[in-house]
Amino acid sequence: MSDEAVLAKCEKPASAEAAAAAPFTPGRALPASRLRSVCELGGLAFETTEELADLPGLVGQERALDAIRAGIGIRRKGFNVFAFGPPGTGKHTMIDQLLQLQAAAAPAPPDWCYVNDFADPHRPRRLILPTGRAATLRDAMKHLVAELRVALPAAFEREDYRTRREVLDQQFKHRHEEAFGALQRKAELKSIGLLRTPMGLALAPIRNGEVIPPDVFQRLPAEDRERMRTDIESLQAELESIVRKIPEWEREHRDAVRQLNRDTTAVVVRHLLQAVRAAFTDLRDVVAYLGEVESDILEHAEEFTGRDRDEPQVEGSPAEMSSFRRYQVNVLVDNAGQKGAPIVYEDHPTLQNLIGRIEHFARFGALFTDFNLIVPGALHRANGGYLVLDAQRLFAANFGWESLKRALRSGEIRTVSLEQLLSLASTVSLDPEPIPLEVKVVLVGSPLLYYLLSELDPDFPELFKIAADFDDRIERSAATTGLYARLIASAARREKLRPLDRAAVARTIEEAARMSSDAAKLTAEIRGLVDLLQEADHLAELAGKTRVGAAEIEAAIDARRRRADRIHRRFQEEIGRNTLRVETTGERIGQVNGLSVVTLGGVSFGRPSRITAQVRLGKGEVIDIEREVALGGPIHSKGILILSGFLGGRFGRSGPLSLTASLVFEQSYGPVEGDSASAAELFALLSALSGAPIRQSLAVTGSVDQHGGIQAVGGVDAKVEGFFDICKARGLSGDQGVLIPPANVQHLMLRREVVDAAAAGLFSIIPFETIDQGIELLTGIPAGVPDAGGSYAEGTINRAIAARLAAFAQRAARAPLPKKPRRSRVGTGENDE
Amino acid sequence: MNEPKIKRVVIACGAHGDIDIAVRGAAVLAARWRVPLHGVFLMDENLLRLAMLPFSRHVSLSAPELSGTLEVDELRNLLSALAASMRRAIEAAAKHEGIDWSFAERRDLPSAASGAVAEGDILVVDAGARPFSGSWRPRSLWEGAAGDLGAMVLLRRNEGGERPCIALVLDAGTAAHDRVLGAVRALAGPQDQVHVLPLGDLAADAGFREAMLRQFELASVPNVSVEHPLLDLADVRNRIARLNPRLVAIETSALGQEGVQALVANTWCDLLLVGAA
Repeated sequence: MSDEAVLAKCEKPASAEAAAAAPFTPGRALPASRLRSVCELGGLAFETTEELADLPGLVGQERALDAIRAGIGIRRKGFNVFAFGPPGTGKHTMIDQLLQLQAAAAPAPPDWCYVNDFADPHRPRRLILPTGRAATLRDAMKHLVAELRVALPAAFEREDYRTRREVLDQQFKHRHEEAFGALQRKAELKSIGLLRTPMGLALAPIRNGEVIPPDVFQRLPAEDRERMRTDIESLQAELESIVRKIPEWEREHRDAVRQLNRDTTAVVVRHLLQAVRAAFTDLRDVVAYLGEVESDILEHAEEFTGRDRDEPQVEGSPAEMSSFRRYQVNVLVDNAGQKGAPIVYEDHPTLQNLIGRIEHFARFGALFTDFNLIVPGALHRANGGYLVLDAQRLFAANFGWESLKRALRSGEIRTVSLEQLLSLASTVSLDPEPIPLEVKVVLVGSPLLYYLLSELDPDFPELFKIAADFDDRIERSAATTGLYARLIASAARREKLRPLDRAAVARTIEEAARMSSDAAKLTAEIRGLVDLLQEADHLAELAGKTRVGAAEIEAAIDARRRRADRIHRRFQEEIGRNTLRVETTGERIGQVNGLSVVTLGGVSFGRPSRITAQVRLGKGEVIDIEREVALGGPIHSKGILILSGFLGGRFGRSGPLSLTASLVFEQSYGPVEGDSASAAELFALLSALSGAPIRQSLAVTGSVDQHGGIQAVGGVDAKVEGFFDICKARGLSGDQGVLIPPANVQHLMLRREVVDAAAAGLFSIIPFETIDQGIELLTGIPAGVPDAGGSYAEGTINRAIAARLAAFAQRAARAPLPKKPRRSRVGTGENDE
Repeated sequence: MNEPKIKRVVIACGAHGDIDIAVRGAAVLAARWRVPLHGVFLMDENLLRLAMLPFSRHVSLSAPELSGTLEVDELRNLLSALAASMRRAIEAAAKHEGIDWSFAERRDLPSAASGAVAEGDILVVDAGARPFSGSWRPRSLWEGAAGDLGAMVLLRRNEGGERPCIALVLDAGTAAHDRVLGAVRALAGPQDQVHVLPLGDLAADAGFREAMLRQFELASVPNVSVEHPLLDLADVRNRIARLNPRLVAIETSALGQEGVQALVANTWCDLLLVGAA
C-alpha cells in the first residue's frame, strides 16, 4: 500500500479528539469515525523526524521522574529508589539520564586501598586516599620493595657490615672457647679429661690419654680417689655453670646481630622511605602506615637479604608471600580517571559481586590468601556514587538482596565469603576492616516485586523510601502527540534509523494507541515501538528508500501480526471448517456468540465461542459448567452469580424460581476467566427461557451488573476483530456485528479493514446499555417493560420468560423436588436453600 | 703421577652422635667414584670405663637440669642404639645413591683406625658444630686422631655452602703432592676456583706453576690460580679466612701435627687432610 493510500484511509476515521467528541447512540451501529481515532497529519508540523529535536526524557512519566530526582537528590540514609513499571517503558534509559546529570555535578569520590595490618595480618586495614593517589602509593610501595631487595643485600655485603658481623661472631666464638677452653685446661692440669658422651659431656680421670680403668682407680690411695672426686665435682659444677650461660650468650649474640642488622637496614630503609613519605606528608594515615612499614622492615631485614634463613624461599611459597607481599598496596577502588560520581550497573548482583570477595590461590596443595587478594564488588566501585541493579536478578542471585540490605543498613561494606556468612567454614581467613559506604541504590523491577517487598520485607520500606512508578500508558492529547513524535524522532536517531516522514509518525502513534488498548492513550512501552521502527527501517532499506514512510510502518505492523498469529489462524481455520462451531448466520434459541481473548506468549487475539444455555425444572440454580469441571475462574463464577442475581431480582420477586439452568462455553477446553462474557451468558439464558431465537450474525461482549446494566470489558479490539475475521472469511453480509459496552467505545482502535467494512455498512459495532436493549438487538423482539402490577406486555421477551418460570413453579408445586445440597453450584440468591 | 685410587668411602661413627653431614657428603662422593660406603662405629671403651667409676656424671649441653649419673648399662644401650641408628642412616644413603654399603663396630680407636683407614680409603669425619654449644665443641676421638691416621681424612663441617672455591696448601718438603692433588682433582668440579697456596720454597720452583695448571686442566678444572708463597701457619690462616673456601686440602706433614690441629680448630669449612702413604 502506498503512503497516499494509507493517508487516504486515514481520512475516514476521526482524530482522537474528534472521535472522543462525536456522539453515538446506544443500540445503534457506531459510525466508522468512532471505531478508530487517527492521528491527524495536520497536527504534526514537520516533514520528517530530522526536523524534530530530541526529547530529553519520557512523555507522561513526570510522576516517576520526579520521584527519581527526589531519590537521588536526597543524600540521606534510606532514600534509595525502587523504580518499577512494565518492561520497555524506558526506565533504564531515564534513570541513566538522570543519574548522569546528577553524577556529573558531583566530585569524584576518594580512592580506597587495603594494606597489611602488621599487628594483625588477618584483619587488613583500609586506607582512604584522595582521588587518584592510591595508585601512586601502590607504585611507590612496589618500587620501594624492589629497591629494598637490591639495596639491602648490597648493604649486607658491604665490607663494613661484614667486618662488624665478623667481630660479633668472633666475640661469640671466643666467649665459648674461653669458657670451655679454660675449663678444659684446668681439667687437664688435674689429669681430668673432658669426654663426649651420647648425652652430653663427662669428666673423667685420665692416665696416658685414657680413662683410668675402674680396677686401677680402686687401687689408688683413698686420698687420691677423694681428690679426683672432688676435682671432678668441682669441674662439673663449673661445666654446668658454663652450659647454663650458653643460651644467654646465644641470645646476646642474636640480639647483637639483630641490632647490627637493624642499624644496617635502618640507614637504607629510611633513605628509601623518605621519598615515599615526601609524597604523602599531607595524609596522616598514610604517614602512620609508612611508619609501621619501616618498623616491620627493620624487624624482618633478613628476609630481604636471605641471611639467617633456614630454607631457601621458593617463589610463590607462603614464606615468600608473607615476606614481600605484605608491603604491597591493594588498590580496591582507583578513581583516577573518574569524572564526577561513579554510576555502576551490576548485571549479576550476587553476594560476591556486590560486596567483593577474598580470593585464594593454591600452592603446594594448600590454599592461601592475603589482603592483596581482596577483590572489590559493585558497592566498592559505586561508593560515593550510584548503583543500579535489576531487582529480579538481585533476588535470583544468591544472597544478593541480603548482602545489599546489610551494607545499606550498616553503612559499610564488610567483605565476607559465603562460607563465612553461613558459618560453613571455620578456617582462619581474612576479616578486612569494613569500608564506609555512601551510595545511592536504584533498583529497577516490576510492580509485583515492589508490592511484594513492601508487604513482606520490613526492611524494604526503610531502605527504599522512594518509589518511582512508571505508567504503562500516557494520555493522548495534541500536546502529548507532539512530544510522542519527538520521542519517536529521538529513538530513530539513537538507533541510527532512517528518518520517518510525517505519515509514518502518525501511523506509529496510532499503533501506540492500539498497543495501549485505548484510543485515548498511548503506550509507554517504548521498546515495542522501537522494535517496530527498526523493522520498518529494514523494509525501507530493502525498498531503497531514504525515509521510512507510513507504508513501511503498516507493513511492519502486518508482518509482526502475521508472525505471531499462527495459533489465531489455526482457530480461524478450525472455525472455517466447522470443527469449532461458530455460527454467523441464522437464529438459535439458547445460543449466543460470546467473545474471549486468548493470550499466548505475549500475543493476544479474539476468539468467538458459542455460549449455550439449557433450562429445566429445578430449585433456582444456575449451573456454571465451566466451574463444575474446574475450568472456570473465580471472576467468571462471580459473573455467573451476578446474572443469577439479575434473574432473581427481575423474575423472582413474587416467589422462588423453580428452574435449573446450565451455561457453557461450547468447545472450550481450557480455563475460562473473567466476567466479560456474563452479558452473553445472560442472553443465552434469557433466550432459552423465553424461547426467542438469537441472531447468530451478532456476537456479544460485556459484563452485566445485577440490575442488567452493561459494564466495560478489556480487549475489545481483539474481540471485535476476532469475530470480524470469521465473518470476513465467510463473507460479510451487512447483518454481522458485535455488541459492545458503551464504555468501551472510547477504547476502540480497530484495524483499518474493520473500520472500512463498517464504513461500507458491511459490519457493525453496536453499543448497548442494558440487557433489555441487548436482547432486543439480538432477537428483534421487544424486551418489555413491567406495568404497575409487575406484568409484561404480550409479545415481549420478559413476558415469555415470566410465563415459563410460572409454569416451572406450578410444576414444582405439584411435585416438590427432593432436597439435595450441591456444593459447587451457584444459586439465584433468593431461591437458594 | 701417583693418583690416589679411592676404593672405599668410610664414615667415622661414634658417641659424638653426629654423622648427618658426613653421611650426606660421603654417599655423594662414593656414588661419584662408584665405590662402596662403609661405616665404622667406635664403641669407645673410655666411656664405658668412665661409667664404671663411682662419681661418673654427664653434663647435658642442652639443659644442665638433664645432667645425671652415668650408668654402664644405660651407656651401653645408648651406644648400641646410636650404632643402629647410624647403620640405618648409612644404609638409607647408600640405597639412595645406589651403591654398596657395609657397617662395622670397633671397641677402640686403634682397632677402628686399622680397620677403616686402609690404603685407598677416604675417611669422612663429621666435624660439624652442634648448635647448642655455639662454636665450641669437644672434638671426637676421630677428629683428635685425624692428623695421625696417615690417610686421607675429610672433616665435614655443617657450615656447608656450595661456594665454588677450594684452597690447596702445598709444601715443598712433603712427599704427598700427588695424593693431595689427586684428591682435590677428585673433589673439585668444573665450576670450582682452585687456589694453590704454596708454602716456603715451593713457589720458587719455576715449573711449579705450569705443572699445577696442567694437572688441573687435565682434570677438567680450568680455574686454577697459583698464589704468592705463604710464610707460615698464621699466613695460611689469614689467607684462608679471606678466601672463605668450601674446602681446604692440606698435606698433614706441611703444617705438622700442631699446625693441623690449629687449622682444624680455626677453620669452618671442610678440611681434607692427606698424610703420606
